[in-house]
Amino acid sequence: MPVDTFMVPQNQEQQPTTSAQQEAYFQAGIDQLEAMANDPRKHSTAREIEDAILTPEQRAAQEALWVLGDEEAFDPNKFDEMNREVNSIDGYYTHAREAVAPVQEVYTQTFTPEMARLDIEQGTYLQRVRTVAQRLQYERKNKIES
Amino acid sequence: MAFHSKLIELLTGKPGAQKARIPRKITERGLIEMESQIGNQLFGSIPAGHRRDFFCLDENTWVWHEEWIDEASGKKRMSTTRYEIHSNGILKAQDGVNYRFIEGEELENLVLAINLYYEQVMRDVYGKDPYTGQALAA
Repeated sequence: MPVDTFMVPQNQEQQPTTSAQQEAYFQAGIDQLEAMANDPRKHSTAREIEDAILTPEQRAAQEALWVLGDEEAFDPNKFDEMNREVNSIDGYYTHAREAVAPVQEVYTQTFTPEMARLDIEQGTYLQRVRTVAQRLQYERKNKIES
Repeated sequence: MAFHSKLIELLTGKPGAQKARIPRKITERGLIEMESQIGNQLFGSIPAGHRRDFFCLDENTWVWHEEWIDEASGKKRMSTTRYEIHSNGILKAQDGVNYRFIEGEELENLVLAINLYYEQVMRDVYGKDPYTGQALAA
């Protein structure tokens, strides 16, 4: 079934939870909101100062590392130096950065290389990857709120 | 799922899908890390001492992050590539230096990777059929 045809279900069946679990999830949600509200990276003047210092590319790299939980690895003062070192390396990783490596068939899959080629030929690949990302965002939100 | 993974391992001789680690507290970051455990397997085995992450950051951005120790200098190396979904194609931003729209085999591989990521993440992280959205039987 083409991925384009699926719709985000409006009435997701909720998993049964005990009142203790519900309370725990509720508390976790409150903790998360408080953490977000107090996160200097998003709301304080520290963020504004960084915005003034960092280029959009540096900010994007930093945010990617935040997502990965490795914010300590990012040093804006050494960003250019790190970039030069990374870009000077030859071999496998240079190749990997030059072009997305062929995908390994680790899993039983429905979507095939032929479908990818067809999608690109027909110009429908952008719609498909957007739909996929939207669905993932929906599932994340649903999981956090459940 | 364990049976499914073991079956694939026996049939193909390759490791089956590993059960994604479940974070203690469910956050978006934790879910993305779980997804990335699947994403990092899409491009083959990861050499010892290397780290790879491939994940959907948001609706319009996919990230490929690599880290490794350079044997010659002993220094930590890393590379972050963003793939941005635009209305006229997928823009590749590599370490904040190179920007270009990808095409040809690279585009095919990325489109395939994104869709396989989606299929597997829906099944293993969210326990749902990727095409119907229905919960999978336990």
